[in-house]
Amino acid sequence: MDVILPLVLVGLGSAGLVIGRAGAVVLGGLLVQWAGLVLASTFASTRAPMGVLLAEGATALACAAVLFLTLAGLEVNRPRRGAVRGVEGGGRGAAMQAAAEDLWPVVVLVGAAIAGLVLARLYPLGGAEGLMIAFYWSLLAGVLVMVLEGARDPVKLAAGLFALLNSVALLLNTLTGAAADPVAVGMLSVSRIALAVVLAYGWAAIQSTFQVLNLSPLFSARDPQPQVIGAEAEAEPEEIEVLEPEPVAAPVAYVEPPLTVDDTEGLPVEEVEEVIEIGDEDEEDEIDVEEDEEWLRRIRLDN
Amino acid sequence: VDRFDAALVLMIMAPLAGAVLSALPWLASRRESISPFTRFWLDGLALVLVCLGLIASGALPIFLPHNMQFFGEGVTFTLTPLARLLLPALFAALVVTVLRLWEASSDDADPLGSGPYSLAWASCGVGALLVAAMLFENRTVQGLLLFGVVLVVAAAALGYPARDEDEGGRMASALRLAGGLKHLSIAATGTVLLLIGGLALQQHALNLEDRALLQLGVGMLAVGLLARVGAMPFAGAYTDFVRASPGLATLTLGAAVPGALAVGLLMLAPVESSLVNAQSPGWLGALAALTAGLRALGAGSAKPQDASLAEETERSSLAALLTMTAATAMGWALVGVLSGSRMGAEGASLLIINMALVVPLLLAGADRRAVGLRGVALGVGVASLLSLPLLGGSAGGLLVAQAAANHNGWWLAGLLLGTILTGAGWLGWIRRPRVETTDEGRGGIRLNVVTVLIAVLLAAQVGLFLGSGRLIDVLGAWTGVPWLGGQ
Repeated sequence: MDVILPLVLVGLGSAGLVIGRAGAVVLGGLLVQWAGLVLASTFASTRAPMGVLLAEGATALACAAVLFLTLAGLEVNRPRRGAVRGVEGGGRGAAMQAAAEDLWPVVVLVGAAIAGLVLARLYPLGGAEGLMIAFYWSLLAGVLVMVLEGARDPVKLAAGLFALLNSVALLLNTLTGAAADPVAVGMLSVSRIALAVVLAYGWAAIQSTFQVLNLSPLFSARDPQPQVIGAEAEAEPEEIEVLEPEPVAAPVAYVEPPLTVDDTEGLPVEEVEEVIEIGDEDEEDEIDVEEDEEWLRRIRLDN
Repeated sequence: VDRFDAALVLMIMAPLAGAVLSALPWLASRRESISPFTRFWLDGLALVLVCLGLIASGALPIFLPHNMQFFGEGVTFTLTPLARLLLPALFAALVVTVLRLWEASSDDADPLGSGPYSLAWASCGVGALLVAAMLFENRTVQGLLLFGVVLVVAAAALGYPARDEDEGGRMASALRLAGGLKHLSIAATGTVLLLIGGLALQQHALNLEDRALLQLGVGMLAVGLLARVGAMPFAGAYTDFVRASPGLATLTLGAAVPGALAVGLLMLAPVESSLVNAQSPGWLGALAALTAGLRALGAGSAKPQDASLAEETERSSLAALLTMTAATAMGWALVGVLSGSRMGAEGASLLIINMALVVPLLLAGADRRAVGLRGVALGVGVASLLSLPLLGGSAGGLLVAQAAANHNGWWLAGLLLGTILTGAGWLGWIRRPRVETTDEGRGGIRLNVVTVLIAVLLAAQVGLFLGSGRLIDVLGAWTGVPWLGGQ
């Protein structure tokens, strides 16, 4: 129980961290993983388990508060994983590629989980095997997140950095050689809280500058775009003309045979009135009326 | 607490005190009713207060005896001869960073959008954290203090979002944001490796027979140091800093990086080098220098894709060349630090001092205000970083080359090839058709803060070359260091 529950939490949290797409899911995965590491530290610590629980718990809550509140406060406009690589909207091939994009982290995650088990046996760093599995799972999840999507997604970048630092905190709190130096433990907590503040500020800066919480436009904006010399006016973005649908010339559809009074025989009264109204709206009819009036005026003058 | 103990604590607190005191004129100068004349003098007063704090902290080690210790509540500070030797140079770089802010362009002075104060305060934070890291004995705490330096630099780099809607403003903002995030993520990863390596070495002390744990710890420390200092291939963020804010680049490359190298040497100091010599990781430094040379060669021969991009390509090529030259010097210093020999450590120490003095010279040479001294500053700076003779870096380069040759000829070959390639990159840049950028001032030598700084830093090069022997003698007092027991 001392090992299984923390390991389950670390494993679930790592999975959410790597596979999750939405920012809240990623941060939730990080928090679950963090909870597992705190439990593992508390169960394994021989010196001051309650002190470890309080210090790590307070750090986790402070960091989570900063990150969650910032993320909630931003008008997040995060493109889909497929959309980032330009595979959206391309039919069946694009759909398959997007599915592969979603499947790829799962496959890598399974590989990392196995690697963590092996590394815990090969390089135990002086800790118990269960602790080392938790350490390597957390470490590898952090590395995976940063390698897979850290260059595009600032939320995943932040989560990866925290996973790395949390794995160090586990070692610091549990290895006997570290002797749970209170100065080091305190500094590690302060460092993580400061990191949360800096990263949250970075998110806000990216969002306000580029209107999207994504690193791709940030890196592309560093390179200047070539301009056509002497054609500054053309280089400016053209205003997109919004084409409104042309009004359907409804009478045109009904004018094929000119309607006569005979044609309205047998029709209900409402439809007859409608036909008359349509006929009244016809411009040609209006022109005819004017011509008739002009003809009548000339006749009167002649008489 | 005797006066020496108080002096050690004062070394850490002096930069912070300078920053706090400078906040008073800052608050006064923010009032709208104040005249421009008064604001000018309040700005000057703030910078003077910051500089006084930095100078006090940097000068104190010169007057204190080495190996003195302070024992507090769970805290032990030790002033090693290495710290005594290096701290004055690191603080000189910080003072140059602050002085450059005087009448600086908005890009340089204003990364946080609040006048010259933000970068000055960042310099104070970096100074205090570096002193603490060099005085603490605990590896974990040292690594975390170095991480604190990263956080301060990253915060200064992130700054305010772009206030200008034009492309230039957005690009500068993008460069700062990208550089800050890259620096933060790479340095944080390096810090994690440093901490794990340090913990593995602490664990090894409980089980001396476990040689694999020792090798693993030293290996992780070495790779962590490589990533933490941002040697190649992790130096991409510095190019962004040089392009976006030369003041920030001076702070990072002139003080933070040499400080991290020095702390790395202190972290390795208690390790018995004879036990790990067979697996000595010094080749990492040689590889870093070689990679930097290759990148410099590419930057020197870069051609614009389009005529309209000529000026921007010129700027980015120069930034890449400046960064890669510093990265080559980092590779040399890393070999010295990781060689596990006294000769290598002495050479690395001299190279670290040289970096702290010559990177500000190099970046001042790229400043618009350098005008007539631009070429001299760039030329001397590059030559010194490449360890050419008769300049500040030559003695250190010679010692590191000897240490590398004693270990493995391939290390020396890698270092020399990296240096040659970097020099070739500069030659390519010089020979290609010139494109004048708006960064280049026109005219002869003018008296301003940058030209005065360049003159002083040029004199420091001569002084460092002539005084190298004396400096090595100071390091001779650093005895009983297991890491320096190798060849």
